[in-house]
Amino acid sequence: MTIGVFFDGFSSTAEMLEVCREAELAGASSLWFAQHMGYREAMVWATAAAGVTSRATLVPTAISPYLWPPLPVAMAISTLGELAPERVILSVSVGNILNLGESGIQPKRPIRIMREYVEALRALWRGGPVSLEGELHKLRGAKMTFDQGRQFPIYIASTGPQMLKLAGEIADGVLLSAGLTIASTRQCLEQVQIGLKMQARDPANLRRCSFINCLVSRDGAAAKRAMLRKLAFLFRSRGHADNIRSSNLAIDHQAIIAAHARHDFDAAVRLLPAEAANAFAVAGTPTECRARLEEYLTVGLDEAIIEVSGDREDRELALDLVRDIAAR
Amino acid sequence: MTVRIGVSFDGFVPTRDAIALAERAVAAGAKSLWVAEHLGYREAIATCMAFALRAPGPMLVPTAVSPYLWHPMPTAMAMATLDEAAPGCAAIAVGTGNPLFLAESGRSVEKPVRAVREFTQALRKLWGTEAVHVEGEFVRLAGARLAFAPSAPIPIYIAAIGPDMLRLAGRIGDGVVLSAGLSTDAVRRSIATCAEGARKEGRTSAALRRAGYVFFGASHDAKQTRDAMREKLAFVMRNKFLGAHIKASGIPVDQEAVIAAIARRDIAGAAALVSDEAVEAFGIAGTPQHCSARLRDFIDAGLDEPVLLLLGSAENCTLALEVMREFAG
Repeated sequence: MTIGVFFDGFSSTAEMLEVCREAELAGASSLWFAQHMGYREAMVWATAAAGVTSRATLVPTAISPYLWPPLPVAMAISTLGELAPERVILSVSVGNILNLGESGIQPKRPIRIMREYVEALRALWRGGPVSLEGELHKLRGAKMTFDQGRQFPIYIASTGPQMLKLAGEIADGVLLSAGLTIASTRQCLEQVQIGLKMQARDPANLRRCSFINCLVSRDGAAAKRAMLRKLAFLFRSRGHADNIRSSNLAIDHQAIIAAHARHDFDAAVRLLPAEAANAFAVAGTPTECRARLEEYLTVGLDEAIIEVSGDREDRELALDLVRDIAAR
Repeated sequence: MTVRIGVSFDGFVPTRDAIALAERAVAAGAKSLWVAEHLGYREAIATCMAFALRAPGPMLVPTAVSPYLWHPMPTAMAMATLDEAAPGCAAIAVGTGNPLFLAESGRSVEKPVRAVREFTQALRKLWGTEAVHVEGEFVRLAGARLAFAPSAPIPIYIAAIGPDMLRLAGRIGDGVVLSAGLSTDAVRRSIATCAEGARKEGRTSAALRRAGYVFFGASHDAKQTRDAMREKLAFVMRNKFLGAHIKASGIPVDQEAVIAAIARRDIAGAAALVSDEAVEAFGIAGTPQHCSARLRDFIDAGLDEPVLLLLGSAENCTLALEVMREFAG
């Protein structure tokens, strides 16, 4: 089990760089940069992080084929690879439906599109002209001119059963979304397992990773309240429907999505009960968080990826968690 | 006229080498670092971020970001992120992109002026951090918005070659950036066309930055830099939009053959099609004294921001930076 740290793009670039340095020193094996639409751009952040780290793997996540054509992504990842050799992974996913819609995109046939996207990226990195008449992207002789032959691991980020199976079939790793209950986390990993079996792949060839929302504070109640805001943001995705049901909490998911659609974030937060902070995440005092994180660590993940956020004291407490797990 | 000298990077060399040159260029007085988004080479915005951390101070300009390949939302996010790392130093050049390379990515260039205009307007709206609704032909946004604003307006240069795009640059750009591979006459004509667009919009052309890429090879051995220039000129001449300027120069260049060679990635074959006469007219190559005089010619032709693409060996770059230092000083 390794421990990583993720960044949601909400904090400033200066804070992100500071936390990157501290997280690597604390033993974080990976740093993940979420591509939330409207926030800090993940590949640019990963490039900045390359300048202040020397060991941790850097992972822009999750790049959507609907917004990023394969060639510029291959170029950006290879550029990052020059700055951080042997420590770059790319994570891809459909992206948030609501946010894609705001960008004028209605994602259709996501499984096929994702399969083609992964094929296109790998073909570009192999070198040589690439011909691929995909449904969304067409490559007609496009080629990478540098670092040819260097493949970067591709993880698929999802919580949907079909996409998780695809991850089991073709990806080098799977990334589960933040905000999952433990029951949902288990179910997701089962879907990945099905995909692995379909292709008779060795399970050891696929890394199982999950974001785990984490807020540690000496004021446990404040941490839990703050966590509700993070969860309300995540639950704008309709992909969380099964996950929310698995909590057995009374949560009106449609109302949360509707609140987001009218940009009424506070209303979305008010729709979450206090218990949600513990059902979908790790939040509270250091003791509470240690106990809750241990539960997540038993479900079969290869890498747990937590946040280091809040004020300086809270971040230091979260880094203590990183140190604890990294030292095992 | 305040002249500021920039340095351009084409993404052909390893990023660490580019960073090392960027550091030297900034020390020599470069006021801007421009990174080309040539498809298949190092990615421009990521490289600019690497420059921001290692060579702080100058304006950082990814160029030219194409609306045919990039969506305005990720572009706005990436540029605002770059601005946060280098407050007030981020700028972007928007341009059609190279038709040959775009075709290889399955994109055809249609209505380029409209595409660039919609993209430029969308970027500005997104940086305003309000929800943006656009129902354009190339850009559709239905409430997209940035959650964080750039520290200052991010200047948008329009990369322009043809008259319609030059006029558009005059109408809506914070600046224009001209292609490499132009003669001084072509620079003069292009800036005049751009100014015409500005006038039609009731803008003064003084408000518009006039940048232009210039291949720049300084050497005590003129042949060495001429040969280096030949390859770069051939690469840039793969752009069919340069055809009119080449023709106007009266210098014979078989551009179709150049394009065909580049499509095969036969750079040497393409370079062989570029004559000494073309090298002399379409760039700057020669001794430091000659380079200095020719750079003055390009400034006199109307560039207030020559962006030098340094050619040749490390020694050539050192000589070029010395020339640049004179102008920067």
